[in-house]
Amino acid sequence: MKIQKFISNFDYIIFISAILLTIIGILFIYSANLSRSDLNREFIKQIIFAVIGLIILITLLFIPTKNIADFSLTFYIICIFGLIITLFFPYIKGQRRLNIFGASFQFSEFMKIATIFLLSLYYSKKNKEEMRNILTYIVGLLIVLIPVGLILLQPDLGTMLVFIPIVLVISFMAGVKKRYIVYTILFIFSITIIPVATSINHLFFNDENEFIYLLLNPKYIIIVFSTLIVTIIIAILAYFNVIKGINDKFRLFFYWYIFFMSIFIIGGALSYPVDRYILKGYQKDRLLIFFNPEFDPKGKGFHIIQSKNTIGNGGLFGKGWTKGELTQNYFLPEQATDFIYPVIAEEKGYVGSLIILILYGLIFFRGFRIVINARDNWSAYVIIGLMSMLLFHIFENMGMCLGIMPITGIPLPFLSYGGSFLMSCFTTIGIILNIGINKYQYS
Amino acid sequence: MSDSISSKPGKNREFQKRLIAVIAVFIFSFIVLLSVASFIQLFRNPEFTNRTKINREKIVRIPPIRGKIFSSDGNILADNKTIFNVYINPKELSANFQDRQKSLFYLANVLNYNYSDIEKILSSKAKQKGDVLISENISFSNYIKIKENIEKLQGVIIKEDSVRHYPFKNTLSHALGYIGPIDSNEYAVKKQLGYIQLDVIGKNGIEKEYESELRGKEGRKVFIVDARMVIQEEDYSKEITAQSGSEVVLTIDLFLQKTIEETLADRTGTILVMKPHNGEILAMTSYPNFDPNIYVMENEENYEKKRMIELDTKDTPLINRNIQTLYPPASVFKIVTVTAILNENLISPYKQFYCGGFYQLNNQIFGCWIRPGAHGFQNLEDALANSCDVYFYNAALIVGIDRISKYAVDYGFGQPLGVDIPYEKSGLIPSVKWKKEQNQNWHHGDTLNSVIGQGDVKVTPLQLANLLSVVCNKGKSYKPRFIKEIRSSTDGSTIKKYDRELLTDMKINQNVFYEVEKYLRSVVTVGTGKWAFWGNDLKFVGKTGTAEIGMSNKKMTHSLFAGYGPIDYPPEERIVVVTLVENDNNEYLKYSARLSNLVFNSWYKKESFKESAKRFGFPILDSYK
Repeated sequence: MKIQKFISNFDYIIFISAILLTIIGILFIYSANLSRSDLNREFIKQIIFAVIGLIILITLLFIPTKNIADFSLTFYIICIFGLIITLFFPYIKGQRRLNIFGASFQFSEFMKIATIFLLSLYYSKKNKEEMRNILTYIVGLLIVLIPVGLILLQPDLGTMLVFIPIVLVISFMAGVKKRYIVYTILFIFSITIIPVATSINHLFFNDENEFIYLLLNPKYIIIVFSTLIVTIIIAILAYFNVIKGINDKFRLFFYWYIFFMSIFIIGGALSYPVDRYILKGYQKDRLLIFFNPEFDPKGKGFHIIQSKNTIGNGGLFGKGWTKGELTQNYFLPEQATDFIYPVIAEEKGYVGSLIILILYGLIFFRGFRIVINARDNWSAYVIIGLMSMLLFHIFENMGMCLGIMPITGIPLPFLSYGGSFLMSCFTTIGIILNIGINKYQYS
Repeated sequence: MSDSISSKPGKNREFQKRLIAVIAVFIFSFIVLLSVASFIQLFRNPEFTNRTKINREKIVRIPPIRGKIFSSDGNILADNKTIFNVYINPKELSANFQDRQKSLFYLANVLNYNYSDIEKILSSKAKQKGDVLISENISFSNYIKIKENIEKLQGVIIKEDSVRHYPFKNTLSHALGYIGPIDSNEYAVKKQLGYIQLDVIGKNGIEKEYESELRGKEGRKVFIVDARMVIQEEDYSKEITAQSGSEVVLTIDLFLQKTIEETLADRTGTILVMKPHNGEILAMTSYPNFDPNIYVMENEENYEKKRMIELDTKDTPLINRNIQTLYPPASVFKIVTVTAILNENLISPYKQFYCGGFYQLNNQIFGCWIRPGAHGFQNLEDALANSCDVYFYNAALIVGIDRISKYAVDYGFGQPLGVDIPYEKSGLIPSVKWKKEQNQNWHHGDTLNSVIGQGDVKVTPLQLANLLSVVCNKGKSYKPRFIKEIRSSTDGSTIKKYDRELLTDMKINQNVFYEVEKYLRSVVTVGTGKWAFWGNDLKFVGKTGTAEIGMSNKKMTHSLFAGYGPIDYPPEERIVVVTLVENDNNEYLKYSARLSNLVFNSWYKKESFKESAKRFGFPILDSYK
């Protein structure tokens, strides 16, 4: 009976897609490192990681979903603890990494999953009315902000960004008011006002745009912000009936005025410290070259220009496996990890791009089927969270290679070289499959 | 989990709505990725493929070998010399400190450097990619010393380079010109022709005029490289072999050239020998001259020499006086007036004017050169033979400036003749119209000055040679040129042969020129050139001149002679000689006519300067060995 249920409910398509992607990944990691004698054992390591990942996946299939859900908090705390420990390890390539006996382990990869678990658990215990309460959402945000803060201390901006879609999508699915979600999205954008504005100013206006100059001049900052604060105070007073005699239509206007202006005043104010303290010089450069890679084609723009060249060079059918003209001749940096997609795109062409997009698409398609049939809220939220995480990884990584997203060190699921990340991907698939199998099992 | 137990979230209407929104985001993301990937991989694929090709190609230029320049008698006037340069590739230097020191010490020893010098050069060029130049143009013995030990000297490289070499140094330097690194103006013009900023280019003379023939075609090799610029393979299909430049054969006769240079010696001035029959320039010298070799190699010694030449504004060694300096033609210009008189029958050749040593026009006195003496009664032939100015003052007012300037222009004055070396000057023939353009009126005094070739009349020695050519050819002259033929440097076959090109055609009665020739003959038999040509049995004709420049105590006198002959030889065997000696002050006809006599004699008797000088009792200067 149990075996029968297992067989009938097991989603072979997701499983096979994931395995195929991993195999493609290993093949192209081999190809990418062919000309590099120092890295040409990476594909063997990746095979070992894939095997470990597979074991984790299969193990997860046999654990009852409820146990996993109950384990959420413990998992979260373990990961938080791991992140704190990581902060005491030395820097490797500008980031602190947990390094034991030469094997590095990145808790931030598992932190994503743990956060998804705990956030889903928290939301699933709330009823519909409680979900509409802003306090519920704020607690949800706090659950995410703790790991975000710890990861920023590493610092690992790329991984931190993954938490944004996770929290937004899970909260949205759990029933948080739409306006809070919109508020959060606008808020995040407004935090980037100053870094983006200075980049644009530098690139396109030769640092001489008057409007941006005003924004950066302390005298005018005070004028602009004090004006905004005064108007918001007036609006608040009006909205809460301290100023009498305002009709309801006008009060609604004041509500939206506060809604939008507070985004810009808080986000804008936060964007100054973000620009100055959180964003590193190289990250601002990445922003610059995102807007214009030709700004520094031999130096900072080299990655993105070469990545696009490599992808474009592939054409329809590609140059053939291990025959990439640019990938095999040192033109592409980091090509086994962050830039694995251009390798596939050059050597297998547009067909290769299509195949990997189709395989990802199949995982998502079957994933949404499982969401619809999920046995409880926790399961549904978790799958959507995990899939958002995967989608963000895919979109950011491929988008970066294609030049439509700024460069962040986010790997491509199943394909990029990296032990912790591959295991976290297999964990993700394991959870999704587990929930799929146990869709009729009620606690 | 009170809610979730009762019903699946998938059955919840609100949940379904929100799920559709999320799915829409997923689908949108996929569409974006897919369309951007299609755009880059399918539509922009040709562009990226092309860019990849360019990125991966490393083009190595192979400079062509510049064509040689020959004299008409087969001597090489401009050659290419192989030089050896020593380079060090810092990356290939031995990592072992002792080995490295050993090889650098050896190198320093051979090149006569200090060990620390080499280390200094290496550290100063540490940032430079590739090989570091240590020493340029090392001697052949040093080359052998290094080459023998090259296997021990890790990282030391000897590269061969081909540089221009002018074996006869100062000989013919003005006509040959020289080559040098291309400057920004030339680069802007020549960029389309494939020049790069490191190229050398003809800067003057034949080297500049025939640059396109001499240069040849640049070849190239194409290598496929990786991002580290390491060569992977060579793309033979794109290889282009360099084509050497063509060889240029000049009309110059090296024997005559050397003779006239010896004849002129260290007198500032020019000697020009031309064949009137076809315009070939047999020899041309202008003193002071320069050694074109100093422009080829860039080193301190040459730099100093170049600086000295540039600073010498008095002697101006770079100026080719034959075509770039304007002189008053002086009495030689009288030939023009004589031609006008004879052609238009304005004055009977037997008509005599009295020369009392001066001519008075209104209150102004115009002297004859013989003043305070006098020529007495002079007819046309006497006047030209004795170069009597007073006769020509009288004649000038009858002939008029309009005729004089017309005939002068017909003779080729006042315009560049188109000789095949650059920077030729046009000179000036004054006329009433020209004077009006200067906002001045023409006076009779101007006519008197013009007729004796003074005043505003300015010509180049080459134009005087052309004048005599016209007389020699009885009305025609051919474009003066240095070029004889252009030959292929590979098999020596002729690519282009140059023939004579008609320059002036006076279209007047030939008898006029026979008459002029007769008068010019009397110049060297009974007239002013009598003593200079004393004892020369060949029948030369010519006209002397004394050009006066400046006023009163700053006055300079240049002596001039322009002649041709022998008149009893067939036309194709005659030569024109123009000699000009600058600043030949106050000693009437000290040199020019006598030098010309020696040149004529050397050419027809095939005698060296010394033999000629002995024959005519010409004093050999001390500066002359």
